[in-house]
Amino acid sequence: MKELKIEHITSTVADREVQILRLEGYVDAHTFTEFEEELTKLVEAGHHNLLLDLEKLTYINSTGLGLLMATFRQVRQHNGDLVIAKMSDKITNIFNLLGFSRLISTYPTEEEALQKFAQA
Amino acid sequence: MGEHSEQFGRGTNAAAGQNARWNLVVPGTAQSLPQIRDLVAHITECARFDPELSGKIEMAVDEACTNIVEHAYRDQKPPGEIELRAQAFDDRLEISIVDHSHTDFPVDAKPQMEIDEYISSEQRRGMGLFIIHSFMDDVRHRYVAGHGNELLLVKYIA
Repeated sequence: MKELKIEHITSTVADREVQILRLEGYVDAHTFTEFEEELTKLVEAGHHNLLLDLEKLTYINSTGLGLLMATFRQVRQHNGDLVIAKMSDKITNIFNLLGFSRLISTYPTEEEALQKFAQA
Repeated sequence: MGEHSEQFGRGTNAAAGQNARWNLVVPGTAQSLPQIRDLVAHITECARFDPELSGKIEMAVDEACTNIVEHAYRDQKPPGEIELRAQAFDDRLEISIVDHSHTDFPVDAKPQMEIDEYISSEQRRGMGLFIIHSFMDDVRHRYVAGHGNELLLVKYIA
């Protein structure tokens, strides 16, 4: 398995452009920079509607989770949102235990996650 | 104790089931972290921890080893090795993580920030110590000058 592969596609829902990132592999101290650069590049380019598909993500460390939280705060300041789809049970457990699920919305499918942007 | 010769890097596993022991020695670099996590996943499976506890132990060990790579070995070129020794007892799993750093890195120091404060703050780093302390039942550290740090993580079997 590749250490971290990030597929980026753009979708439109209710006239809003949503950037979808599909992550495959793991986010740890070795791959964190790649993940950070991808998210930073999008936000700095003015993309504030982000959907992360984590179906194929096997692990994310605390720095990766911290980056998610920081990016979530940033896009919310610009009236955007960051939502997550298809998170594995293993990562969902950690996400819930650390309290991130109180802020960042998670959905079982990309389609349901996209609807969040249609309602916003 | 029957020998069970699974190999993990420069390491061994002696016997499956209770009172089994594992040993792994890897370079103290970020590239070694997946191998460490794979071994921890194997150990928690052998010790019959449920998936939630296994995930917590895997993350606590990964955070501890990340601290070694990013802090204890930060100024050491080339970095030393990380040695992971684990033993499953009837009532608990003990994982000892050893480095050969010249830096005393007190991982058993209590985190300065609770998770709610962290989440509501602007910080992006610093959650590692909280995770290690929250996800493990006992965290003990000692530093011996000339030898390095030894961190003992204990998880009791409910």
